Amino acid sequence: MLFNSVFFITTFLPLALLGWYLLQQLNNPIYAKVFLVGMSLWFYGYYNPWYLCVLLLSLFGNYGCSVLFEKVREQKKRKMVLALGLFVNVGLLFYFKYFNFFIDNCNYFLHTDISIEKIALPLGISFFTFQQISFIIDRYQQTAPDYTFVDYVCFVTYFPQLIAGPIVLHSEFLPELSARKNRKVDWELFFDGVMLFILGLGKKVLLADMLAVVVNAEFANVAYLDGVSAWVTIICYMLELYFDFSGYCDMARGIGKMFGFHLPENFNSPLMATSVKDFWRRWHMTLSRFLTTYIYIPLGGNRQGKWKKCRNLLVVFLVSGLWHGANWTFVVWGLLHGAAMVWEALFPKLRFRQEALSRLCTGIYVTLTFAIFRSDSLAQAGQLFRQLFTGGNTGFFAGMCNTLQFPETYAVVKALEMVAPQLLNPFYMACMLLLLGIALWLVRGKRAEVWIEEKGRTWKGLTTVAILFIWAFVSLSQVSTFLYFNF
Amino acid sequence: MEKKKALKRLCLLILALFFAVIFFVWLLDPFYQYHEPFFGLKKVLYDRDNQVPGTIRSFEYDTVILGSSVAENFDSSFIDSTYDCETLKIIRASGSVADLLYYLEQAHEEQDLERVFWCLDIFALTAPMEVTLYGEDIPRYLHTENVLDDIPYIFNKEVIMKKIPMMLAYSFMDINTGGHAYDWSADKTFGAAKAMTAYAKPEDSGTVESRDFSSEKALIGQNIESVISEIKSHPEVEYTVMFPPYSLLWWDCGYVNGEREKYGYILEQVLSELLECENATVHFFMAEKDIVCNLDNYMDMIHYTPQINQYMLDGVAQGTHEVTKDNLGEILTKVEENFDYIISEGIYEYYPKK
Repeated sequence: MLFNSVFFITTFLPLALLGWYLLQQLNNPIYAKVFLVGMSLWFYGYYNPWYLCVLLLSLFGNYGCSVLFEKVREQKKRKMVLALGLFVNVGLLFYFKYFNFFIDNCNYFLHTDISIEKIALPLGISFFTFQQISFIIDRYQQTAPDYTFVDYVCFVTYFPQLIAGPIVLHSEFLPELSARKNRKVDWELFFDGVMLFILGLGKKVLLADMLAVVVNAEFANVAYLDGVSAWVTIICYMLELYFDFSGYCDMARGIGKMFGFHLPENFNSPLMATSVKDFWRRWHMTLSRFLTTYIYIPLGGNRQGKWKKCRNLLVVFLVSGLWHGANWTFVVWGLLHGAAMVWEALFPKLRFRQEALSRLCTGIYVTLTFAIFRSDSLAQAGQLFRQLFTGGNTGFFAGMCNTLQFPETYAVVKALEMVAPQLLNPFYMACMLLLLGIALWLVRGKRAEVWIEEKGRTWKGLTTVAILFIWAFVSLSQVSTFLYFNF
Repeated sequence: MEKKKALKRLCLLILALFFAVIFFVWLLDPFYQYHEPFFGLKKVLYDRDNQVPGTIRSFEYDTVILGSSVAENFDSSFIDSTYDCETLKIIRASGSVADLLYYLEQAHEEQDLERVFWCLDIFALTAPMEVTLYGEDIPRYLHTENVLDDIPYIFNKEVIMKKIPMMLAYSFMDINTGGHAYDWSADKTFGAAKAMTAYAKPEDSGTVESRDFSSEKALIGQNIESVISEIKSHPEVEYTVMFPPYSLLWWDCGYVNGEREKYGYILEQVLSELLECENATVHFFMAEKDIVCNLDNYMDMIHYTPQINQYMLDGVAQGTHEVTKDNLGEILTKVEENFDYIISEGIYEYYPKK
């Protein structure tokens, strides 16, 4: 199910909230928890109930490991349980996410002719697998208690974070699940949640999906782009990805607050970063936290000298690249970010004095690497880079702006077609500049939660949010799916 | 302001906006799901798939024009004035018998029909009998009266920002109003050059044998039977069945694809069955050589100018093209003669012999 769907907003979410708070009034909280699990499984299996089998298999396997950790005290056996748990998790991820990629590469490099049926990727498998890996490692290290099965299932399946994060840790979620104070509606938190959800919905539906129209059209025609339009395309993609994913996370965190939970922040103005290292402190923060805690530090982190630190950084970003998708484009993207991190580690003082210049250069680097991330193949990425640097200006940009055919501008476009057709192209260009201008202004602006705290309770703030909600709600019949579902 | 109070205010604001949107869409109702237009606005019909279901439910009429896109350019005001009636166009692009009968049944339920003008496409008599009007891609709100199904109609950016402004503009500019409902001819080019772009004639390879179509006979029979039982089940309604004139391109294409015998079979079956219906008259324009063989009347293989639509209505009114049991054989012979002329001479007035 999508957050940005009429059914979710008008039926599923109100039903889930009502059931949750009503059942919380019973003495035994288990009814509310079981209800929440049921709703989460409905949410997950809404489009394809078969995905539930994968999720349940993963849940039972990992909880089984947790039970074994409780029973086995011998260190060697505990290690074996951990190894088994990791093997099953990584195996599951490998099978569903990378097996097709692996076979394709075998066929390409070893000149074999293996053919298999395409394996469908269950939604959010990378998210719930990483979440559970972190849990069993913590169980192994005895930093996680032995939770009940219902609590554990509640934690993993909790629908706001299930399919696109943020990657929540058990230590963040489960204490709140059991807290007595959360059994009543906290109206302060509920208000923040509603506001955050609406702002996230607006980001996704009104910005990311509009930018997606341009990006999808131009990435399908890379060969025809000139330099100007290629640069505008990749900037649009960077903004689309940011508003899409951060919009989703705002919605997830907003729903979390409505239920009385504080899900971790995932974005902190990442496009204002002054270095790649700074970018990863602000972008998809819960993934960075996972990779740092469970890969970078166990590899030795920065404790074993400069070169090993560099190696560790490259390994972490290679894993990050592969986590995002089974394609060489993701591997190259990850390695380029790793290389930038290594560069910054080796030459920490080699920086611009002006912060604005650092921001600009970081922004350009990140945008260029994300262009590879978006490309279907390295060949397409190569072609796009040729257009970026040698495409010049053939006037394609004007045609590109014509893809901005939105219902919002329909009446003006029709009027211009009749009265002043010569003004149509300038009008579309103005729309493009306006869209980019608003997006960039919001990138530089305050974080949603800060804005809610400062302006959310004023009449102006409330009216703005109410209009945003209606505008987004009436746009729901034509929105795309979230970009981060398949990661 | 306290957050609890702010939340109440936000909910009230959202509710107020919700009701404003509901009222706005209900009031202007571009798909006519709830009512005929208010405030003296004209009935603007320009989007057949979205508007036909609503107009069947909401409009007052006693006559319908039924057919595919070739029926869209009929001037229904001519019918209104000639027969003193109120006409509604019911169009399905494919002309599918099953879909049109589904619509017609709805029309019978909503209004007391007196006349049905059916522009019957013979290619539609080979189409599957399944109704294709509801499916995953088709909004449920069009065909149901359940208020909950209407949410995607009322809260729909395209309806609010595209369909309503377009309806208002068309109403003021008098486009697709009155007798010109669904009329698409205004921005189309007709003529031999345009029509020929729709048909790449294959190289001549001698006489083409008709292909075996015995497996299709059952389906053809079902389609014809459905039409006949519809007519017979409403003896109080007067049915006027018209067979529209497709261009020589369509006939030649049928010939090179081995369909000649099939066309003959369909025409013989459907015409003789229709002639058995006491409440139906049949008007045949397919063998109008002067029209069919002049590509200036067409924009592609089957779509002709509004003048041809008018010619048909005049013919119906005057009974000049009526088929009777007496002239049926003569008409079928004329079809065969026309076919011979088209494949041996007519088509070569436009395409070189290869």
